[in-house]
Amino acid sequence: MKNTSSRIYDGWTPDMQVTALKRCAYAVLILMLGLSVFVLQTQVFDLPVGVDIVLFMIVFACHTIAFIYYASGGMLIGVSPFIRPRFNDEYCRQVLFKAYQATAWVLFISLGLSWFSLSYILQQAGVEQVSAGMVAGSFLVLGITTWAVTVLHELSDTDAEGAA
Amino acid sequence: MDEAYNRIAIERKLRGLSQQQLAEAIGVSRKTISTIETRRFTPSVVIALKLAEFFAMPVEAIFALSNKIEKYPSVQ
Repeated sequence: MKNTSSRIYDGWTPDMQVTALKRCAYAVLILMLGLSVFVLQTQVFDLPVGVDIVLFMIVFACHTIAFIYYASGGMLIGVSPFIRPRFNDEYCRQVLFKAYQATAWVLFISLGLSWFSLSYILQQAGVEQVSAGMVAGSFLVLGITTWAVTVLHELSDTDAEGAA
Repeated sequence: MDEAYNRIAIERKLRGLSQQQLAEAIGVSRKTISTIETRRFTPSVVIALKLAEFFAMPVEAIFALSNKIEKYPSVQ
């Protein structure tokens, strides 16, 4: 829907909401990629300086691209960039509901599996101790990635008119 | 759970409208229209009433629990 309104804050149209949600999900995925590289870089491997610099540049690029993608989707439109505009399009609300539902289920199931098998997996992997921050961070990345993937799946264009 | 069938795609094409034009006319996103047409999304009563008002037809002529919706003689 084209923004033909004369009022400045009326640009938050239903179609813009769909675009904003889709771009937000892409931005989150790119951000999670950057975060994963950062965690690998700092926590897991003892890398040479050259590779370390390249990985740092990848992380920086991921964060920059994610922010540009997020901002260009229209999420910063409105009275203040610190207040997220409300999604009032019915399908967007349905997509958000499904995404939060999927995230809750994935976290619930992964927490249950961790409760029973995390110590065994860590023992098999030869890891002696894991910080609570790392475990919490892993669940955070898993939850956010699930949210983004569900949003993108629900917003994927499968109809002929939309794909054209 | 029962599935709701609808005649939106048929009525829209009979009037020569695109999904975008219909979406703009009732104030929803094009994605909402496309997912209603493909029955991936069941709309609220508000959107159903807006669609019925736009097509100048009763809601039950557009939406039904059976796929045998009676043809409503509103389009010339």
